[in-house]
Amino acid sequence: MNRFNVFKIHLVKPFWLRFIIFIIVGLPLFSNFPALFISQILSKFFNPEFALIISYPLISFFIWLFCLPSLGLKKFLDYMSAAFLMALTTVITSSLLQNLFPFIFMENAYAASVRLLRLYFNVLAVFPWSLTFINSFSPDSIINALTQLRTPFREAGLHFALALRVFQHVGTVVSKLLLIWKERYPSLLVMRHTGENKKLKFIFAWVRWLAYSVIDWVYASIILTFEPIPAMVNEFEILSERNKKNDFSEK
Amino acid sequence: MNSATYNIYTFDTFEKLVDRFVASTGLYFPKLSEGKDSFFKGFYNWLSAEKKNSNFALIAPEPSQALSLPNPAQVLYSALKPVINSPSEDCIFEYLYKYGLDPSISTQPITTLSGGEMLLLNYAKAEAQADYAERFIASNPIFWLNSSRYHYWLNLKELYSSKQKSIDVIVLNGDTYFDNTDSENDFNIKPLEFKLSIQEPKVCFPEIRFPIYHAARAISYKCHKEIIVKSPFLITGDNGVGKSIFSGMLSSIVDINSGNLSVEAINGAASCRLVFQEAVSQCFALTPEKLISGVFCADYEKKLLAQNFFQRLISEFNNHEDLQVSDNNIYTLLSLKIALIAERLADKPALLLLDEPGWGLSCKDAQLLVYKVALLAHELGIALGIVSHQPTWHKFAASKLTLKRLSQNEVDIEYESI
Amino acid sequence: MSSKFYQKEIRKMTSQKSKFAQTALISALAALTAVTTIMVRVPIPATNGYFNIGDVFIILGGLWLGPKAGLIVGAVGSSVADAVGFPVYIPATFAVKGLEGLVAGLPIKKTVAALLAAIVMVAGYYVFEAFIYPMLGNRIPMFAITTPEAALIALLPNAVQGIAGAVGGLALWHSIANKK
Repeated sequence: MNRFNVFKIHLVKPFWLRFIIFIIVGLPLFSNFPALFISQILSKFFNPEFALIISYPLISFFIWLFCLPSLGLKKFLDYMSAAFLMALTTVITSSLLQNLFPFIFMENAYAASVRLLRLYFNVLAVFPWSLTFINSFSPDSIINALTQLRTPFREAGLHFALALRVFQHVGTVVSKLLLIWKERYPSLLVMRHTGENKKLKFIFAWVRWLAYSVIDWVYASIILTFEPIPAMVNEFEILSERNKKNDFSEK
Repeated sequence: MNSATYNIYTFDTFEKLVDRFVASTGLYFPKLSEGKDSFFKGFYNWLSAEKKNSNFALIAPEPSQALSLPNPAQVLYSALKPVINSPSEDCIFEYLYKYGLDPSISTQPITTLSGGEMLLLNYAKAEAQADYAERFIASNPIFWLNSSRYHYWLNLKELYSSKQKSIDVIVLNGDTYFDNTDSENDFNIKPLEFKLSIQEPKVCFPEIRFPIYHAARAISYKCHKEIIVKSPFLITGDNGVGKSIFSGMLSSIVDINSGNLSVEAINGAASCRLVFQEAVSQCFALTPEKLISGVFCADYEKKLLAQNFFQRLISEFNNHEDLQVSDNNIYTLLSLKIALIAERLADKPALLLLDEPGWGLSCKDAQLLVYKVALLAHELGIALGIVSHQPTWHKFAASKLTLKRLSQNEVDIEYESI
Repeated sequence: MSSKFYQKEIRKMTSQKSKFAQTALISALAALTAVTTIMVRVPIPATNGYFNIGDVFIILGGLWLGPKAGLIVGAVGSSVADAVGFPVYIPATFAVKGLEGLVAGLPIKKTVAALLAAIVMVAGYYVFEAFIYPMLGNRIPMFAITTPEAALIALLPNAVQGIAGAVGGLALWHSIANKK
C-alpha cells in the first residue's frame, strides 16, 4: 500500500469523518478567526499589520498541502494555474479601476491594498479546496440511495434514476462527438484542409467554418441526446405502472 | 393455451429493420438519417401522441437503447422485482455471472460498458423478465457477440420456449447466425503493403470522481515489433479486449502515454483515418453533401475529389433498393457510411480503418461496400484495415492482427499472413 | 390569475406524454447546459469570468417547456457546471441562472422573454458580484472572491453572453419546438 495514501482525504471513510476534516481544514475559509489567531501569534515577532498580511499566504499554503496528495500533482497544478489566473485578473482589474476612478470607489489606498491582497490569497485557497471537496464526495452513492427509495417516494426515485441516466447519456454523446471531432480535426479549432488559400481568404473561410461548426455541434448534441428518450420514457412508465400495481396488491 | 412461435424476420436495410421493430413493439425510434426537420417533427408527434406501453422483453437495434436505468444492478433489480419481492445483491450477481459478466460491473454506469457487455446485460434482463413478459422481441441479438458466446443466446431461447413465450428475431439479411447465406462472390483484391511499428504502447485513463465515478484504467499492448502488413488486414479479438482503443491509438484520437505505435505507407504517408461504426454520429447528424462541403470548405480540389469518390461508390449500389436518395433529403445508413469513407479517402492517409463496417448493413451490402472501398483505396495507395470480431471478414483479409488478453491490463498482438 | 398564454403553456406541459417525458426532456436540457458551459469556456481577459454558450439551452428550456422547466434547467445545469469549475459560485449561479430560465418561460412574447432573461442574468450576476459576495465575504472569507470593480468590468462580457444566449435560444426554439 502506498504510504502517501494516509494523506489522501478522498480515501477517508466514513463519509461524515471526511466531511468533518474538510470543514476543520477549511475553517479559515468560513471564519476570520483562524487568520486573526495566527496574526496574533505572529505579531509577537513582527509588526501587527505585517503579521495580519502574512497570515493569509500561510493559510493558503497549508490548504494547498492538504489538497495536493488527494488531487495528484498534475491536477493540482491544473487547478492552481486556473486559480492564479482568476486571482491575478480580479486583483489587477480592481486595482486599475481604483487608481483610474478614485472618486467613484472612495476607499483608502492602504485599506484597498490589504483587501485585494487578502482576496488574492483567498481565491488561491478557495479554488483548490472547493474542487477537492467536490471530487472527494462522489454523488453515485447518494443517487443510488435516492433511486431505490421505498414507497411513497419510489416514484421520486424513478424520476431521479431517469434524470441520472439522461445525464450519463449526454456525457456519452458529448465525449463521442469530441472523439469524432478530434478524428476529423486533430487541431480541434482549425480546419484540416486549407487548400491553397492565401491569408485573408483563409481567415474568411475559417470564420465561416467555425460558425457552422458551432451550429453543427449544437444540433448534433440535441439530436443524439433526444434520440433514446422515447425508449427510456417507455421503460420508466412501465416500471411506474408496475410499482403502482404492486403497491395496490400489497394493500 | 398459447402456442409459442419462433420467428426470424430478415430485411435488406437497417431502416426497414427499425420499422419492423417499431411496428412490433409500439415503441418510437427516431430515424436519424432522415434529417433534422424530420427528426424534430417525429419527436414532437411522439410527445403529443397517446401512451402506448409494451410489456415485452426487448433487445433493441442498439444494445444500449433498452437499458434505461443508470447501472446494471438497477436494470436487473427492476427486471426481477415483479418476480422476487426484494432481489438481493447475490441474486443480481448470479444473473450477471450466468451471462459471463463480472459482478464488479454491477454499479458501473451503463455507458461505460462495451457493446458485447451491454448485449449480455440485455440477455440477463430478458431472462429476469421471462416469467411475466408477453413475448421476446430481439433485434440483432448476436451481432456484438464473439462466437464463443453464442451459447448464451441458445440458453435464452430455450428458456422462453419452455415458458411457451413467442420469440421474434429481427435481423438483416446475411446475419452470420440467423441467416447464414454465405456470399458466393469471389473478392479478389491485390494486397498492398505498409509498415506497422508497435513498440509496447500503453494507454492510461485517469480516475474521474465527479460527476460520475470512473476508475482509473490502463491497457498495455505487450508487443514490440515492426511488421510489413498486407492490406486489407483484419484487427480482431474477443469482446472488450481493446480493439477500439488500438484503432483509436492508430488514428491518434487516443493519446499514448508510453511506447509508440506508427504507420508508414510505401509512399511515405503516415496518417491513419478511422470510420466508426455509428455513421450517423460520425456524420454529426449532417447529410452527405453538407458533411463533404463542410469539411472541405477551404479546399475546392479535395471537395471535388471527395464528391467524385462518393458518386463512384454510390454508383455501385445504384441498382440496389438500399439507396433511397430522394429530393426530401432522406438518406440511408449506407449513403452516410459512403460519405464518411469518401471524405477520408480524399484526405489520402496511409491507412483507412473501418470499425465494424457491417453494422447496420446486410451481409451482401457490407461485403460489396468493403470490396469496392478496398479496390478504390489500393488504387490510391491507401491501405485498408477492418476492425471486427465477425467471421465474415476473414475471407477479405490478406493478413490478420489478433489481440489476445494476457491479464486484466495487458494485451498481446499476433500478426498472421492469410 | 392566469392569462390565456399561461394556460396555453400549462396545456403544452400536460399534453406531453407523461411526467417521465417531462423529466427526461428537462434532464436532457440541464445536462446539455452543464456540458456546454464546461466545455466551451472562453476566458475573458481582465475579468475572472468565462464566456460560455450554456445560456442557449437555458433559454430554450424556458421558451419550449415553460417557466418551471426553465428554472430547473438553469439552476441545476449551470450549478453542475460550476461544481466542476468554481464551486463557490454555485449559490449565485443557482439563483441567477434559475431566474433566467424562469423568466424565459414566462407567458409573454418569446423574443421579449428571451431578452428579458438575458437582462436578468447580467443584472443578477452584477448584484451578486458587486454587493452580495463582498458583503458576505466580510463575515465568511470563502465569499471574498470578487470586488465591485471587477463586477463592473464583467458587465460587458456577460451582456454579450446573454445576448448570444437569447439569440441562440430563440433560433433553436424556432427550429425545434415550432414543428407540428
